[in-house]
Amino acid sequence: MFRRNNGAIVGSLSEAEAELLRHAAEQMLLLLGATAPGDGEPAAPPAAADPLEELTGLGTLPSGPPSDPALRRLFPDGYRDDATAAGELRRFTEDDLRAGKVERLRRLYAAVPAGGGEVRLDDAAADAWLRALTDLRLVLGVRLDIDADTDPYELAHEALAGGDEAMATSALLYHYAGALSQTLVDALTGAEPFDVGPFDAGPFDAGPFGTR
Amino acid sequence: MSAPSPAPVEETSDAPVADLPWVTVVWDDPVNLMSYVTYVFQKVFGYTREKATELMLAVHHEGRAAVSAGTREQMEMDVAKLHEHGLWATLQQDR
Repeated sequence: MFRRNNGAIVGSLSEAEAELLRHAAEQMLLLLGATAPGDGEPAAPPAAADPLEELTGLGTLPSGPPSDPALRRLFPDGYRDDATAAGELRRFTEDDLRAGKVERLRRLYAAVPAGGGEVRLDDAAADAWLRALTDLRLVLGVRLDIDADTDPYELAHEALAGGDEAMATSALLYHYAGALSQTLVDALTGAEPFDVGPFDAGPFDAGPFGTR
Repeated sequence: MSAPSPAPVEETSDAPVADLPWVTVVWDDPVNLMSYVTYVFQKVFGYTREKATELMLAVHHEGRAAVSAGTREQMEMDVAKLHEHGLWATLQQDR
């Protein structure tokens, strides 16, 4: 968890937390169609099939929303009741939106020490982390069908009891990323540190799902 | 719902539709932290913490709130900025 310390925003990650964050960032990059960090240079974009796109960089093909509901949440329609206007806006904004999300995820990945340890962020880096963690939570929120009444910790335990370890891990990751985000917002805005409860104890080091 | 600012322009029968100002609307979602939404409103629009908090609470309690108003092009930019921060935003003509 992070707090402001002599101008910097400083946090400490356990080895398991660092591993979880790096893995999550990799999965997010793959979801966004980017190469995972450590896989060398990003692949060149595929050759444009649209002649105008080759000349201008702008496609002429209609741009519908992504079919994956998680991607649709990351790239929502800008117009609610006008698919044509929404497609036009998407055509002009989606590439930049995607590039920004990819850049922030790479930045987060690069700043997580592989074996855990201290993380020092300036405000711009903390903002990038916060936005990358938000994108992660939005995707997990769709995958886990989170609503306003969901207790992710409870969801994790139910999933574990039902033998669904992948879902349990996702629910805990959602909870952990939320707690981490809360401390980043508080550090950035100068709010009193939020009591994050059991995560201060580093539950990922206390066995798969802590002792609670 | 708390009044968005600037106050909605009253529609008159002879006003051409194209002259109506546009608004950016943020919709409630179950994922984004309330403190984060307030932070984003302050950062993106330069609002005071009080105003940003008021708008965040309007989104939270009413399910949606108009958070900025202006030309269609300006609102498209605001929507794009909010999408860059993971908020669910759309634009529409104020009516």
